[in-house]
Amino acid sequence: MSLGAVSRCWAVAVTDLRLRFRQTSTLVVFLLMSFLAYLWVPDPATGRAVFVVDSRRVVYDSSALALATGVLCSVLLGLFGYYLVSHSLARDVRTRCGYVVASTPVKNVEYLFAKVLGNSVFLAALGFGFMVTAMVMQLVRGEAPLQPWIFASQYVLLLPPMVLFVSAVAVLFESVRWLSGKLGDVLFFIGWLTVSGLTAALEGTRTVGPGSTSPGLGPTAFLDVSGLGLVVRQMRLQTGSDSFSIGATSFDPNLEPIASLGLWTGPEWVIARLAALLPVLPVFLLAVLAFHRFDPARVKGVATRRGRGYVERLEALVSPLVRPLLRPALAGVGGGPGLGGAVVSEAALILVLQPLGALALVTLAVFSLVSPTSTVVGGVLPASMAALGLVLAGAAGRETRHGTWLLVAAAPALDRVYVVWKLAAALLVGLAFTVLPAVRLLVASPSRAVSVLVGTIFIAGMATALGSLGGPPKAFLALFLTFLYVALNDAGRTPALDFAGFSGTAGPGIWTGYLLATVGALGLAVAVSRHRQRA
Amino acid sequence: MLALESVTKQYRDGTVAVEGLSLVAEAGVLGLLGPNGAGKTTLMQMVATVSRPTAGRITFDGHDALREPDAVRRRLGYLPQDFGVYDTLTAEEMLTYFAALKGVRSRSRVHELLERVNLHTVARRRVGGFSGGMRQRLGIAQALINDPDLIIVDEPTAGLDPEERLRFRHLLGDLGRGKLVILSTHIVSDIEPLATRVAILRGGRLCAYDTPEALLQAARGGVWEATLTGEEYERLRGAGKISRVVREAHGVRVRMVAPTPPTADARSVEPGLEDAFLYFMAAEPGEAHP
Repeated sequence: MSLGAVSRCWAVAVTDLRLRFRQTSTLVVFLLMSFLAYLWVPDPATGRAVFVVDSRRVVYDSSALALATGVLCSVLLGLFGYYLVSHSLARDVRTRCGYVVASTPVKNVEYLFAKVLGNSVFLAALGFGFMVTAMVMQLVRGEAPLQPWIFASQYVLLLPPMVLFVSAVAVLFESVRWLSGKLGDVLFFIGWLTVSGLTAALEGTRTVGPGSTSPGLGPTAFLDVSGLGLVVRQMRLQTGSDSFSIGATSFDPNLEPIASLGLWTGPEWVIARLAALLPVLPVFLLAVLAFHRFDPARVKGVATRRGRGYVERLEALVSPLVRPLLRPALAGVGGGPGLGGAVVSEAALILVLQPLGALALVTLAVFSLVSPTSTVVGGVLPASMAALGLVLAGAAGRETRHGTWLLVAAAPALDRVYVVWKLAAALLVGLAFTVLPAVRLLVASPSRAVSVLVGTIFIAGMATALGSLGGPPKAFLALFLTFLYVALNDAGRTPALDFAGFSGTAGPGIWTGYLLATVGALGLAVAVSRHRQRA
Repeated sequence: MLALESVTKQYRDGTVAVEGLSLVAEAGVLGLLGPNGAGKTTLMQMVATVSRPTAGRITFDGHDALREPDAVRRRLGYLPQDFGVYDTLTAEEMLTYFAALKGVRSRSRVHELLERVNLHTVARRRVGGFSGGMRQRLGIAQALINDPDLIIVDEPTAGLDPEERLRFRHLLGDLGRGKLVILSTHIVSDIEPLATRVAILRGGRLCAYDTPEALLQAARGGVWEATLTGEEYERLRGAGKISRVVREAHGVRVRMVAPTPPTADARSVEPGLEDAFLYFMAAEPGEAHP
């Protein structure tokens, strides 16, 4: 690599980092992660502990806390990290600085390498901040002296493959037009869960010889970017048990706590982690091959007027069917004068702008009507909620992103009721998605039907609140999809997670909780919105 | 020397943005005129190596823009249309960034450019708070940071107030000595005092390319001035290209481009560049080439 290339890479990476660290949202994310670290490490006096093996809690020393918080950090950086860093090229497209970049001698490989580097350093900095918070948690709740080196070694063993992989995937997805939007966001989420779950599951089924400490570098090591497979394997080797949990879990207080060895960091395990770095290379090479170099004919957003990607083509096919149906609603017909008309019009616009969402709505409605109740509960309802979240992500912040806020501000009284207007439209769309499943469940399980309606209000309210607060669609999508995944996987074991009647375990107390959370978030959005208007 | 040979750009949906365009340009200011959608931006993107032509060849001083893009890029400065900024960077940081991408490591060059575009007093201020004119000046500074021989500026005066436009014009006029500046606009008055040659595009095709004097000469005899009644004005609005309208107490004084006198008392006048532009816009394809 020549000195010029190093200088160019350095400039791109440093500029990216400057931009990221000067965003208020970075501070918010850091605080949020710190809060999660706090929640993740409960006081054992509460009957729950961060690390439990065979119902015995593990003593809070540096090894145990570093391992447990490191796993959480890896999951957070893997899932949310992608959504945090996957707008680096999009920013250059939006500002048109990308055109200038394309007209300079900077090579594609240099530019993308620097983008991956910028993403990685940013995520690593978040990881470092998280680790420091976890160390503070040991000072607060620990049962042994803090050993910073032990702490750091566990994080260093776990995190680098995940940080680099997510950074490279974010750049790859931004380089491929049809992956650079919502479709890519959803595919990443599904892909991440699949790969992480698969490696952990495969490690869980591998035979562990008695007294063995070797990683036995299997094929899973190459896929184990999250480090979950490594943790599962080492825990099985260290404890000889398949029953261990990391996270705030209940334990038997009558059993003696045990000490953890933490993650072994011997050379064979380092090699296993180096193997997990290998997937970064093909992902990066694919990104270099697919990179559009800001060619207007290949960049999403600019290109839609010219050539079209697969998703745009599909939308173009569906759009002529959707638009005529929604045209009267788009004009506010049926909503009356004033806010009512504006609400109907906004709801129609949400669907007109996302014809595939409208197609999903019709398809799910048909399935709601013809499927047996069990299919409605197990398939149609989760799909409806997922589709609703995808459709509503970004609707409330559309004006800010597209620069049409002043048009709204100039409309009679709309700026004063902005949040109410957006909420009502989101609810209207939400009900269109969920009213049929709710009606189907009304007879079989009335409480589930209520949960469906509460869930609809919750999703519509949270999407509106986050969008009004200026959060990007990706932020809502990341939070929503994770929450939906956790809720579905919980399968009713934790009634509080059943926000939309998936398991039918939620009752009036939980409904009230979700409604209060929604009202709180919306109240904050209204307050911020009014403050901005006054400013 | 910039040479374009039968350059064509066709998008995947079949839209032809630029078709068979050929021209040769030497140092000086080349004004690129055309209505919206004429293909100016697409043409500039191809010359700036941002976009690839579907057919044809672009060379700059013998370097093929397709085969040796880096050779062209090293001598290129490009200010795209609607140039945005990274809001949270300072002017100095932003310029240093583009300097590094272009292989310029001298900090004094950054300061020199900031001074040249009169942003040195706000060099440490975040560009998010800059006015449209200040952003454009920062844009031209980044285009000039590598002392390029080919400078491409796309609609640089759009949205600027008259004072900023004048300042920008002076800046571009100074650059035209010894370098090739391609300036695209649909505001003819921006080009009039600067351009050494003018290319007029319509529907992706080059309909005129010559010196301003030659274009004016071609339009001579086709520009008329007359004072009309309100009814006559309404009747003639669709009959020719009106370049100026002044409402006066006794009627409407119009200046229009038409092959024949629009009224009996219309008098032929000396064309300006705007008239010449309208003259070529009104001409049938293949007609009126200078």
